[in-house]
Amino acid sequence: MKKILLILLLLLLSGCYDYNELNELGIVSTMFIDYKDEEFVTTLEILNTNESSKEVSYMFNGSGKTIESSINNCFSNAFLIPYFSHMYTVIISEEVAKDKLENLYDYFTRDVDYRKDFYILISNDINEIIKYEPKNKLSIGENIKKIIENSENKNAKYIVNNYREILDNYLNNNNYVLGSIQIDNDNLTLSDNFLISNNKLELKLDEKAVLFMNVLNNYSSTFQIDSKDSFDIYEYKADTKVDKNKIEVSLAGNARILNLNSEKTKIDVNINNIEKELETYVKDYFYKCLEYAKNLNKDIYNFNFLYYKYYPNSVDEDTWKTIDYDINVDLKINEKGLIFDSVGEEAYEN
Amino acid sequence: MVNFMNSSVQYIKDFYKDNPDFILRKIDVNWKDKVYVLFFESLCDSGSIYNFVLKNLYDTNNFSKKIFHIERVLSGPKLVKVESEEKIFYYLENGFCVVIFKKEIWALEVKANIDRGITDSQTEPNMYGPKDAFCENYQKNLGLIKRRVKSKNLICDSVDVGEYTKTKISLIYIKDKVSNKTINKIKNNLNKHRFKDVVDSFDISKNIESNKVFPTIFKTEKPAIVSQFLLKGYAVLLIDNTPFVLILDAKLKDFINPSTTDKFVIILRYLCFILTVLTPAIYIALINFNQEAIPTSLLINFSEQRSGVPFPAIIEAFIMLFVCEILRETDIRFPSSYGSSASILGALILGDAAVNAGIVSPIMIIIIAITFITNLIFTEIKLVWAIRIMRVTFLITSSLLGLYGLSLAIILCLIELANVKVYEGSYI
Repeated sequence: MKKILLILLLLLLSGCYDYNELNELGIVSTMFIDYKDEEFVTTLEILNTNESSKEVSYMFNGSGKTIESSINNCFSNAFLIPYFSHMYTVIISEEVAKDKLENLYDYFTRDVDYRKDFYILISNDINEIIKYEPKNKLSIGENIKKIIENSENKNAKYIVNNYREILDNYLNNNNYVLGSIQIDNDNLTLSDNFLISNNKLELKLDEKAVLFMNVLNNYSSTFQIDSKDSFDIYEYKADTKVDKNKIEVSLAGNARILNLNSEKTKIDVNINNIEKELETYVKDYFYKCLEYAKNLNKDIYNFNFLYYKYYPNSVDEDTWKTIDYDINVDLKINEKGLIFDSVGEEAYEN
Repeated sequence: MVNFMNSSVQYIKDFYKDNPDFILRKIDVNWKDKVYVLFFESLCDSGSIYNFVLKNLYDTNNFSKKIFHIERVLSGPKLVKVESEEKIFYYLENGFCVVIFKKEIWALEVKANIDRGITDSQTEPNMYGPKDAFCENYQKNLGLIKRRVKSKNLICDSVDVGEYTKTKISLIYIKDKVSNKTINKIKNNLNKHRFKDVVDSFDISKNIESNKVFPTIFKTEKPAIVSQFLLKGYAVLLIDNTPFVLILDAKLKDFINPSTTDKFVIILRYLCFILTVLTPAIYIALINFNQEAIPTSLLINFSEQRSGVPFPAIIEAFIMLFVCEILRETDIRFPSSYGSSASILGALILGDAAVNAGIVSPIMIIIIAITFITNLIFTEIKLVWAIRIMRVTFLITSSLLGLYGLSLAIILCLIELANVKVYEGSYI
């Protein structure tokens, strides 16, 4: 009897904490945050879950002194309960990126309703994206998520960090990159990468530096090198070793020939030579990326933080500039393409 | 002596005067002595009575042979000397023919074949194993077991229970496979209960079962399964007039997976047990409390499907479970000769009309269908009852506290399961 009473008390006194009927939820797909006239203007894209309506999503907007108050104003007249656990992306204006990033992180870190795996992107024209009507039956947020996922798999030209990664850099006072999105030819596309330093938007990064950053952190599973020829580098591993006076960056992996220029397509071409040329090219490419950072006078690859991990007492602000770098590249071309096998000697002789 | 016979026979005749099937034959063997043959026409086989008793008596009479020992005239295979007058009633009511000559009373077994014979199992059909099932005849049932377990160590302790029914029940076990301690425990438990009348095996099991919710006594109508359990070291109760043999004390795994050794089937049955118990509760917890655990596209799908439904999901779940329970009960009780009208009607109402009317969502139909299809694997009625109780408990807790409540209920359920008392070992 006591046991039954205990169970009943436990269940009945606790009530239905956190109970929500599914149809009453406003599932937020994307959050747009702008800063105008000393107020945050927030627009939320809510997914449409009503079968009878053809709209994919609805937009609700509100403004306020804080992000929280602007979001509350979005829902003040709505019949739905905001639900943020399925939010894919947060798109912020350049104004927010320049000056209000700390407010943004403060809000997302304090609120437990948010998952930490949504992406943050910058847009130079946030209203244009809000008004964008996708050509498929997906919401803006779902479209952006698909673009990011495709970009991660196919090339290393863009860096789109999710909130967890950003928070990690933010808490370690590291420099980090925020990607941006724009509408190009009536299509949503990823565009420039911006360097964020001291939680402020600093500058637009060169594509080559972004690629090096992606490779250095092993973010991308594959990346493409376009010298005179085109190669795809895959199954690679980049490693960074820190010595007292030297930082050693090594890259080892496999390469696939995508396209050779006309002189090399002959059958007697020596693959070892191509391999050596590729290694030299990648090595030079990486040295140029290091030079690029030195010219900017920004530790965009966070070598100082890396050095600090090993030699906390020896690091100073310019360590990353003064230290020597040694880059080793070991790539094996193991997929030559069909040209050497199927289009054989006879094909050229004829 | 003559007085004894006359008065005694007269007493029995008077006692059964309202039973038209009671037959009393008086056969004169000489000018002085008479043989009385008493039996119930409904319980005895008249052919056997003629062959084993009457024919011999008349032959003796015709050839004017003197009868010195009546037992030499009675040629049936099972002949018992009745020591007291009271026992006459017992033998008569158990299909024996009672022969009274001078001061000797003999009972000869001439039972009529009033059972349906050995048929295929209706409740536990299988494709490749033995097909035969127990019937209502105690002797045949015992024979079916002994045909499989041919051992001198197979013990069969019998006792008659019930004031009116006097049903024979036997505790059967293999002596060297079950400890004396376990047997004593079972016997003590059986002796503890006074069974008023036993018509069905359920009359015994409801009294000796140690837990109100979870089954501990496994009922089967398959001799092959009984033999397997006997060989595993279990004791069984064989009850007259019922095709269901009770296996004492089975564990939870024996109910979920009673006979198969195929590992895939074993995993499948365990999976079905988990699914039938937890599916509605997990669904309710996910869509009402823990929506973040569902992939977004699925969540939108669920939400779209539920957009026109007027009831909260939990009420919808209870309505559907209730309707399905009614359908299940109808399907069991409805005579098969009426065809499948009940099933068709149910399927139409549940599958199409209810969704079109906006009373339930299609996803709820899928959830309930998974719940009930996986439930159909289990035929043991007490297990089905336990599953039903667990399902409703989990559903209520998950509707109050989501996945947290469900985890809490699962832990309590496991504690309760671990607490179930069995004669040997643990229940789970």
